[in-house]
Amino acid sequence: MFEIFQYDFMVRAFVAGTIIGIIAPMIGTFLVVRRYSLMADTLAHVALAGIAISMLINTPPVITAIITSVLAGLGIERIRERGKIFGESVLALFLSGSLAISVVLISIAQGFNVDLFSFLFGSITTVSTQDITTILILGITVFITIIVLYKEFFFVALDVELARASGIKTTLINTLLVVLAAVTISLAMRIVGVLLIGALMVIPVITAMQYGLSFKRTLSLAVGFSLFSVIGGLFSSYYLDIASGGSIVVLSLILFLASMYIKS
Amino acid sequence: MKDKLKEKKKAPAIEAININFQYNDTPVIENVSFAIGAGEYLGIIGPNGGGKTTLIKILLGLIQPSFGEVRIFGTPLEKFKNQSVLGYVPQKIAHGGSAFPATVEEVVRTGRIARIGILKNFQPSDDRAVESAIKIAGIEKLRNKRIGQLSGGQRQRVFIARALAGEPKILILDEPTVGVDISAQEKFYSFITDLNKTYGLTILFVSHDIDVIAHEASSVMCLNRTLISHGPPKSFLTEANLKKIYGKNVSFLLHDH
Repeated sequence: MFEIFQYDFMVRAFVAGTIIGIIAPMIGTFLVVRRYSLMADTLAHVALAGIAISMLINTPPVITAIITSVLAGLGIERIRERGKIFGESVLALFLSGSLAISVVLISIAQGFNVDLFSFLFGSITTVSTQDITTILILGITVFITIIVLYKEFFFVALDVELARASGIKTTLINTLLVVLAAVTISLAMRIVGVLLIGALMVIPVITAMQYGLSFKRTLSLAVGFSLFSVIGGLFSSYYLDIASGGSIVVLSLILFLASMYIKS
Repeated sequence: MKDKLKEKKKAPAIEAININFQYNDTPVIENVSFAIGAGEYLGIIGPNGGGKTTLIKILLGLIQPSFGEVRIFGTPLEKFKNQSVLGYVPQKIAHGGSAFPATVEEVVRTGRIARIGILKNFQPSDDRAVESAIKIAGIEKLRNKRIGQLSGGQRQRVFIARALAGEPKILILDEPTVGVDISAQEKFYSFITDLNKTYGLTILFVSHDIDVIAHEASSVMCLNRTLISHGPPKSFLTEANLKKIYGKNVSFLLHDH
């Protein structure tokens, strides 16, 4: 069973997968309880535009995706705060808008090929040594930030106004959450794919929410479900030759359905 | 120096000086000035849209008045760093709906956050304050329940415990009994009076229930854009005053006092 670890690319896939499996549902929990689930998908599409840009001007894809999606995340927050457009519509605008931009840019770069497919649906063979360094450094930074600011993130998720009345810089916390989400999504692209990362941030969380636990335990359980899906998904991807994003998300779906059945 | 200290000690818990607030050029609050002494129980009433909630938000520093100043124990609000002095009990919590995965205890613990500050963790003293708030509010049995599972009356007690956990000197309540059944409301009012008498907490209670607030509060203030009246409940509850606020058909509001 463990002969798959003879391959360096599989070791890299598991290291990257573990980190992403931990941080994606952590960020996802805060997005879900704030009715912000679509944010993950939106930023993922923006990250795809980042990939398209990197194809065109030959920059490192993950870093370019991070920069693009962080900028878009800040833009989304700005437009939402101005309050002239519904928050949900702003997400729709960025989601479909960035997809359109991606298609145009990828066409120009003549990049409709296998590499693009792996960015869309994830692939276990594409995590490079350089990617691992980026994922390790930024992934651990995201993890530590959530742990250190946990009580602030929780409070703002519970009630923004109450948090502000308690002296919390709520705009800063909101912005930080979006930036962390953008970074997480860009890091997860290689393994889970642009089109499926939203699912990994949301499905384990709503699965864990079925169990009626405290916030902290719900978050921990979501991480557990997510790690199980990622690791199981990577094994199935290797042995069954399936795009890893697909196998990971299908596993998390099975966990969701099973939990719903048990808890109904 | 000593005189100055004395002066500070005597300063009212909350002092609002000539507060004005406009929303899109429409005046919501005009020239409102009042003071609440430490340990007082002030009831604020007034019609919907009369500016009660806006005033509360100004007192909490959530919105800036267009003109005027708020002082907390003599210090201007914008310079006042010790947010935990003000315990705020909102009508409801934004995401406190049934699906939000948080327990009663987790919600109560947020009451300490203003005191603890950013990047710092809960200490044993914080845990003790949370425990004592849970005990005072009588919600020991609810601590591990999700907030979404509670009745309106239970949830109000949780919000009170949350505010008490910060060991405030002033408790600000914004129509906290909306959606709470009558018997729970009565208990709630006497609980607040008890907090005022036993713990010397200064209370600022916004309510739509004139009758009850007139019984419980030491003074009543009526707000309808401007300050209509402010004084002891007896002087306030005149038919002429009530007509000014609620229009002609007020007799049903008045019971025998």
